[in-house]
Order: sequence, then C-alpha cells, then structure tokens
Amino acid sequence: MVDLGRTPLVVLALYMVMLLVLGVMGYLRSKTSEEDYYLAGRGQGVLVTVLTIMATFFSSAAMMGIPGLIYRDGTAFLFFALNLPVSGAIIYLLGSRIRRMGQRRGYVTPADMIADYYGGSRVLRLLVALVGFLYVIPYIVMQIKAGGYLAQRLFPDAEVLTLLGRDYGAFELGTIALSILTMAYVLVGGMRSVAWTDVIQGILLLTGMLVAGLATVVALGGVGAYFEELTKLPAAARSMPGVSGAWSPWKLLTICIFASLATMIQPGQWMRYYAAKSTQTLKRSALIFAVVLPGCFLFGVMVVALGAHALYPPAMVDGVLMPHPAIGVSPGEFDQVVVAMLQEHVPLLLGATLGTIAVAVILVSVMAASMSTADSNLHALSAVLTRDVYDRFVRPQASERERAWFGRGVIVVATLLSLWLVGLGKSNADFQPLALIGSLMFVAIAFSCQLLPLALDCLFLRRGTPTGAIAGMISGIMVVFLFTPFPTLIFGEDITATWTGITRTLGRLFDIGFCGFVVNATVFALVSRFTEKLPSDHVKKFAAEMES
Amino acid sequence: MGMGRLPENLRPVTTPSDPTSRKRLHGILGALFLGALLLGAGPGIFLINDYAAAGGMILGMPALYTWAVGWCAVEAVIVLIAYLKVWRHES
Repeated sequence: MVDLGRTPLVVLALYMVMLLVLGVMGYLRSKTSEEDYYLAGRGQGVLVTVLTIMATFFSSAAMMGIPGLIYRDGTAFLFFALNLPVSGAIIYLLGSRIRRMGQRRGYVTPADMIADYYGGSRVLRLLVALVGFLYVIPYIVMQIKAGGYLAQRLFPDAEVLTLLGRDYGAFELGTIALSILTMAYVLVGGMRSVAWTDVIQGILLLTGMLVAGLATVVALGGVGAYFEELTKLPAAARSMPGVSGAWSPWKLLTICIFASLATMIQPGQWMRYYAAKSTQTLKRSALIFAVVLPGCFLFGVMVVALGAHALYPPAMVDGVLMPHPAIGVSPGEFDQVVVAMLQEHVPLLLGATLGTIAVAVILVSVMAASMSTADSNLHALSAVLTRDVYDRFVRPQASERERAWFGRGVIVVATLLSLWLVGLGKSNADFQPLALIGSLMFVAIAFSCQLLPLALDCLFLRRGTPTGAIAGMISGIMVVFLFTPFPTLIFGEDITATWTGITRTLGRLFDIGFCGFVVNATVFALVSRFTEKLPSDHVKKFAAEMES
Repeated sequence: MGMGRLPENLRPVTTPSDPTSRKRLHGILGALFLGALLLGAGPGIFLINDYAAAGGMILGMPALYTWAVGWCAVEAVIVLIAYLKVWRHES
C-alpha cells in the first residue's frame, strides 16, 4: 500500500475548517425561531435543495457499504442503481404535496402532518417519532463507523493514545473526530449550516465518485482493458444471485421500489421538502437527482468495486466469504474496497504528489458522504424528539428558547449514544447488529418504510382511519423488528428458532421493509374498514388544500 | 393529411397543455417506468441471466452490466420526459 504521508491530514484539516466556517456563517444568517433552525425559513433554492437531498441520500453506504456489496457479490448488486431514478421521481411526486401542506399549515416534522391529518392522534405522533428514531440512530451509527474505518486507512501508523485506562487508536479517534465536528456545526447553525455544508459535501461526493471510477478504469489500462478484465470474473460474479447468493430479482425489485420510497420519506428528507422554496424547486431537484446520480453510481463507485472484484477476488476461507487480503482481513471489511483500491492505484497512476493529493481528496469525499448524512439525521432527530415528544408530552408549556436548547441537547445525546454503540460493536465481535454497513442500512430503511402506508394514504388515498393507522404501524414495526438480531439476543436462540427460519427465508426473497409494509398496509386497510372514519369535512378540507 | 385534422382520440400526445392529456401521458409514463423496473431490476433479469453467467457480452460490456445501465438510462429518460411534458406544466 502506498504511504500517503501527511497529505490526508492537511486536506482533512482544510475540509474541517471549511465546514466550521460554513457552520458559523449559517449561524450568523439564522434567526432565533424554531422554524428557521429546523427548516432554514422554508426558502431553500434548487442548488441547495438538490445537493442537500443528494448528500443526505448518499451516506457512507454510497462510498463504502454499496461498493462493498458489489465487491462481494459482483454484478448482481449493480441493479441497486435502478432505485435512483425512482427516488428522484419521489422528490416531486410526494415531496411537492408534502411541501405544500407544510407551507400552508406550518408543519416541521413528518408527525406534524400525519398526526394532524389523523385527527391529532397523540399515539400516532409518538409512533411516527419512534419510526424516525429507529431510522436515524442506525444511520448515524453507520456514518460514525465509516469515519473510523477511514481514519484507520488514512493513518495506519497512528499512535495509540491511552486515556482513563482506554486505548484510542485511529478507528476510535476517527469516530470521535467525525462525531464532534458534525455535532458542532449542526448545533451552531441548524438546517442552514447542515444544508450549506451538504452543498460542499455533495459536490465533493459526486466528484469523488466519478474520479474514483475514472482512476480505476485508467489504472486497469483504459475502458477496453477494464471490460476485458471483467470477462475474467467467475460466473457467480457475472450473474444473479451473486457470489453470496443473496440477491434474487424479486429482492432487488422490492428494494428498488420500497427502499427508495422509505429513504425519501425518512424524517431528514421529509423536512427538506418542507424547507424547499417552491414546487418548482422540487421539480428541478427531482430531475437533477434522477439523471445525475445514476451516472455517478454506475460509472463511478460501482466501476471501482467491480474492478476490485476482478483484481482482488474475494475467496471462501473456512466456509466464510472473505475479502482479498489487499482489501481487508475480515468479512466486515468488504466495505473498504473503494478506499483500498484508490490508495493502491491512484498514486501509481498520477505520480506521488498529485496522486496522493487526489487520493486524499477522494477519501475526504468518503468522509463527506458520512458527515452529510449524519448531520441531516442528527438535525432531523432533534426536530422529531423536540416537537413530537418534548413539546407534546413532557413540557407543552416550554418556550421556544427552551425547546431550542432541548433540541440541541438531543443532538449531543444522540451523538454520544451512537458513538457508544460504535465502540460496543468494535469491542465485541459477536455484536452482530453493527457487523456490516450495508446490512445496517437496510434495517434502518425498513423501519422508515413503515411510514409509507400512512404517507400514501394521507397524500393520495385518504381512506384510512386513525385506529387503522396505529394498528398498521405497530404491526409493521414489529415485523421489521423480527428481522433484526435483537429478538434472538433478547429471547435466546431456542425460543426464536422458528421465527428466525421464516425471516431468513423471507429476507432472502424480499426487501425487509417490503415485508413490514405488506403486513402494515394489510392491517391498516382491514382495521380502517371497521373503525370510525375521520370527519368527511376534515378530509375534504385537507384534500382541497393539498390539491389546490 | 395534417395532424390537426386527425380525430381528437387519435392525435399523439405532444401538447400537454390540457390536464386530461397530461394525466394520460403521466399514466403512460408511469406504466413504462414500472415496466422498466420489472425488466431491469425484477424478473426481467431472468431473460439474460444464463447468457450473462456464460460470459456473454453486450456492446463490449458484461451482459448484466449493460442490462443494468440500459434500464437505468430508460428510467432516467422517462423522468426527463415527465419533467418536460407533464410536471413543468403543473401548477
């Protein structure tokens, strides 16, 4: 591996200073109101809207988790890219309706709108907040973990610091640095800082993805030689269901539809629709997202991951699929493929100085991917817990100033909690929930997917009842929970063996979120049929405001 | 015969100024998009999987790679048409 010297440190320092400056600028432009802190005054234009939506969408999974799955499984997982135009279309089709209602009724969080439509249901508000929490925390954990991986790669010879009897190596210091910096600028400037830093991070990320793909193709001797190399892939890596056998077409199809919808209605994105200046802003953002992102994926990081599979094929070791030693040393290190490939090939290609700077910039773009998602999620979680829990159930009489401080407290606590979970996963190899960034992502998205039946009903159908919505959501959340390792950790393998068998089979066939969605939507529809409807004038008024 | 003389129901949907045409075009584009998803990321993959496993190439690229890129491009083009012909004219 090529030694990058101090260059990454310098590039990283410059990047961090720039983020802090943007954070402070966001603070200076902000007003004291809650709406300004959470939605930047509902005035974000096209550039900021599209880049903040992209940057929030592209987490560490985009630069680590997804390329890791392609490196592990080959071309089978390429089809994940077909979810990108779907997500783009959702920005307009759902986002414009969400924005319109948010503008008219002053909504800030997803629960504001859903609870308002379903007659002010407090239980529903709590459930929507819970779904937000269940989505956000794994996603933040995932981003912080990626920061640790990256630090490990960038500074392999970093000295281990010992503080209060604990050792802090590059991984730990990386996670701490990413968390503290992200937390700092979210605390200071709210949505404005988050969105502005997302612009820089989004540009860095898109450039990084494309440059990484280009560098890989050039490193392998050009386009022809690259595809020649791909012909040497083993049959399993050239076809479905992939090397690990994990990807059936039905699973990929349900991911492309339901994971896209779930990701685009998670609290952070939902609040970005509220924050958009106009419907026109969302239309243009949808188009740019749907056209630009698939290109960056298919001709960027996916090219890197497939090239790595050809050059450094994973191998079965004692019955376990392992990355090539040049990429990683454990099954959890498939994720490091982009970082390892760039570090190996770009300096050789561009020469020591230019190559090292290019690698450092691209690696910082990986960090940008993590930070831009972590900041949006921290910010959204702050809004959700402050408005949907603290303000409604704990201290309804709280002043705006008090709520703002509580919101900032949420950001600090959520950051520390996520950091602790990352540390727990690192020190305990058996703690499977934190095993691989990719799988963590699908669980988080699956929880968010349980908001989908309510969102579709509220935005388009308007036939459900509050009781139906509550019953559906509880069922959906419980189903997704069964797919996580937590039931086995809580109840033991003997009790959960049957369930685990069923969920494993279903999980191989379909997206987890889709499984929860089916149960959720079915229960929602059935219970709505037999329970008290919403007053028709309330529904008509809501519909009229949405359609006009 | 000029386009203007065709009966209303036979005219191509090129002028999305009225809401009915827009709605119809939206429906058609939606169906095409779903079709692209089914063929691209769904069971349509079975049409090409054996060929891909046997090392088949399309346009000099591994078959499955070309299949994914192609259908993704179709989806993106549908979104582009939706923007130009439908969304842009909606208030």
